[in-house]
Amino acid sequence: MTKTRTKNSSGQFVAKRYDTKIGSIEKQYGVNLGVRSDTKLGNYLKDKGYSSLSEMLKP
Amino acid sequence: MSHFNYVGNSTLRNNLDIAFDHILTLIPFSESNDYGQLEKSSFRKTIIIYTASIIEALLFNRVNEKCTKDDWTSYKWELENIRELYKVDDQHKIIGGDYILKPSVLKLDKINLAIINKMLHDKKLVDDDLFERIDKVRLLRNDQHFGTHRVIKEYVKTDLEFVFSVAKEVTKLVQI
Repeated sequence: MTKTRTKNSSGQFVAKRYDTKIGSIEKQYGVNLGVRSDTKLGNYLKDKGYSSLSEMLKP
Repeated sequence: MSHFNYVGNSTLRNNLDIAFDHILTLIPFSESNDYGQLEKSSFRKTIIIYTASIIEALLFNRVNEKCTKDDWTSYKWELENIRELYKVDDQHKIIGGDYILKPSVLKLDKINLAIINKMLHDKKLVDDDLFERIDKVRLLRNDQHFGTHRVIKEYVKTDLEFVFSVAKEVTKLVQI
């Protein structure tokens, strides 16, 4: 795993969001998560049975 | 934008976002076919610990907002000025002294999820059902202390959805 957390240009921590692409997580951590890269994180969580967590994600 | 923008304390808000983000990172790992059941169970264990931390922090913030010094104070009887009146034997003495009801204010760094949950339940800020569910999260989280376990505990998806459902309820509660 990478040692640094995702930050924006002003150095602020950038949280993953509902529409974060699974592909970007795969790229960041160098793993294949076995789903389409353009799948949105929120939808991925719902599909996997984590509806509560998906609902906690901001759009 | 934070997932916890209703939290006024910026340090707490950032810590909540960082913990939540780590959970979101670990979920796909716990679902990936690249890992066996043992690794997935370990990912889930970490997710449970982080989720419980979020629940605990949000509820602690609630306690800070809603509870007064009286709520932080408990009373217990203490024996002072003890005098030995009669020695029955080496392991038994009859004593006298002052028995005083003394206040004890809880220290913030000693407060834990069990205490926070009870304080909010006592003040009717958490209902019976949520109280039980939060306590179940606490017990799941405390399973990390495996020194006394008699079997190897495997963490499953239903454990995760359970802790997430409690976290979701708690996030709603603290926004009221």
